[in-house]
Amino acid sequence: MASIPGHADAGHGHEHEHHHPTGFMRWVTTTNHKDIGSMYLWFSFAMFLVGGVMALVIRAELFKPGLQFVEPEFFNQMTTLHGLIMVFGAIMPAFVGFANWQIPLMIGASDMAFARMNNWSFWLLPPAGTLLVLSLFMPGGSGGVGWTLYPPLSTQMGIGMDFMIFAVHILGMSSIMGSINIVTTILNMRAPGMTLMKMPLFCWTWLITAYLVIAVMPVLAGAVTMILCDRHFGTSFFNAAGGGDPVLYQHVFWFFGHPEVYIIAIPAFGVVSQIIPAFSRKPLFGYASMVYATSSIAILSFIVWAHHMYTTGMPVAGQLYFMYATMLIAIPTGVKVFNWVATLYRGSLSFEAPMLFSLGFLFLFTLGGFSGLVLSMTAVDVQLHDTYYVVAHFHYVMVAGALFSAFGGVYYWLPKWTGHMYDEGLAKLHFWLSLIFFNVTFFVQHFLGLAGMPRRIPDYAPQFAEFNMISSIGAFGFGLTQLLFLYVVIKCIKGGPKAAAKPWDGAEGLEWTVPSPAPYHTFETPPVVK
Amino acid sequence: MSTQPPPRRASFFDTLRAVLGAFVGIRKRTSGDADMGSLNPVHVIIIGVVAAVIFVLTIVFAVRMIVSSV
Repeated sequence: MASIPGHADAGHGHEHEHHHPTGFMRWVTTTNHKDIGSMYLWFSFAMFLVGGVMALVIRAELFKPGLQFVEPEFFNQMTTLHGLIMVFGAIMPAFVGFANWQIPLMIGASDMAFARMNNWSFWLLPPAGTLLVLSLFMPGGSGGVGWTLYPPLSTQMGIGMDFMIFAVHILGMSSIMGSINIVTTILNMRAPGMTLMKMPLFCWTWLITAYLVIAVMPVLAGAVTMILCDRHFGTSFFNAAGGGDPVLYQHVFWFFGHPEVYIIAIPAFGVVSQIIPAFSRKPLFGYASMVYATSSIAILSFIVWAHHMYTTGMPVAGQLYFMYATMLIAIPTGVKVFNWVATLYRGSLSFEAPMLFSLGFLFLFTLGGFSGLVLSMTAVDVQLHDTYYVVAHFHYVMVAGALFSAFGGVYYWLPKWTGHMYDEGLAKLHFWLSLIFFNVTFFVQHFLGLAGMPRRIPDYAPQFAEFNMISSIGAFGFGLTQLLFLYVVIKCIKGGPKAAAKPWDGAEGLEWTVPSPAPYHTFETPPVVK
Repeated sequence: MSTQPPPRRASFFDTLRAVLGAFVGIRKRTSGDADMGSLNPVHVIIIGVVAAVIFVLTIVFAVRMIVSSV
């Protein structure tokens, strides 16, 4: 990776007071990438807790067969909002938060390219999140249609459904603006000497992800706008009686939805690709391969969408095409896993919390990848479609993949952000409890799915009782463990041992040349990278 | 960014090799560095999209053969 010349003056000693509002207005009007990055991270954590509570409502109801706590309609609204909030409100903004904080620091830029648009992209999020939550209080409640918002159900729901559609529009606008900012920043604002192939892999993964976001978010916006038109303006895009086709929606949605999986996963790959070399004290194995594999994953993610819809009535030739294409896309992803393992090989390993989360990611994400391969086989998928096997699969990818990588990233960069070292013991406890409870929650769901338990149901047959009980216990454990994470972060912000500019001896990159905590303004004079 | 003299321009086959390397996900560091100096991004995108289309057509062709032989 980039070799960094001496940068004693990187912070430039700009301790003098800058003219910006203080208090609440500081956060409303800020154009500083660090402030905005922090707000993104806090917002996503808040949404993570909201979506998490919804997951606990689901798991509480499923603790025993029969209906105990909530009505089936409300249960469906919980599954829908849990999915939407976690995908669009928690995971995506979390990685945009990382991007805001880290990309300018990593490439030696003073800020993001469009600082005011950056502020606007963040401040679109709270109204969108509020709309999602408010939809619950509308007449008829929120839309209980599943996060995919499939018609014809989504064309029949109450006004809560409109709230969700507008929320998705706003979240999409925010993501597109954030991505334009990231692309422009990376392409135009790199420090002299920071060539593309010297960039930390995290910047590469975000560059590629940002292109994906710009490509597919308008597709989602189009899909939900067509639903809106079907609901209110007399169109029949998805209404067979009017000459439309509900399956059209599924094609359009998954043309967005499959790249969306990579929008979530690729920045997570980037974070892990920063952490594993740092704690292996070796450069990343196969840097160029990683860049190339990530680019091709991005392209190939557009040609596999209908593997989400094997059971919607597709010709055999179509099923075979999507099956083969899906299996082939596993190759570049497999290359990445081998590269991370090769980076670990004969490294001088140490196991601080960021490394533990990265190793947890590596193991569990690979497991999720394998269950994905199982599901890619049409004949198997026809059996497992809409069962808990699918739920287990994508939680291994989303939670153990994206979320674990985000936790790893927070612990890795927290000393840089706060100037304090976090409590390593508690962070490790957070990791082990998360790892155990995650598997208790989701591993058993593979068995439930194989046994035929459908997803999105509030009640189930008695033979599924034991595994559901185990899963629910794990879910409550996992949820409570995240309060420990909150405690560790707040404790670190409030104080703790002073962090050095480079607290990790194996870490490389420009961000470690500025003092900890990173000054409010960094790299006002661009550094020169050899 | 670099002040070094511009390296030689990549040929069609250099670009194709880089794109195919990306599809498999394997590329040598030195080749990757050389690519960055010599490849034209517009050519990479065009060849990448064409290669993706060929990739899709190859799978479609394989599927047709398999379906017709049953």
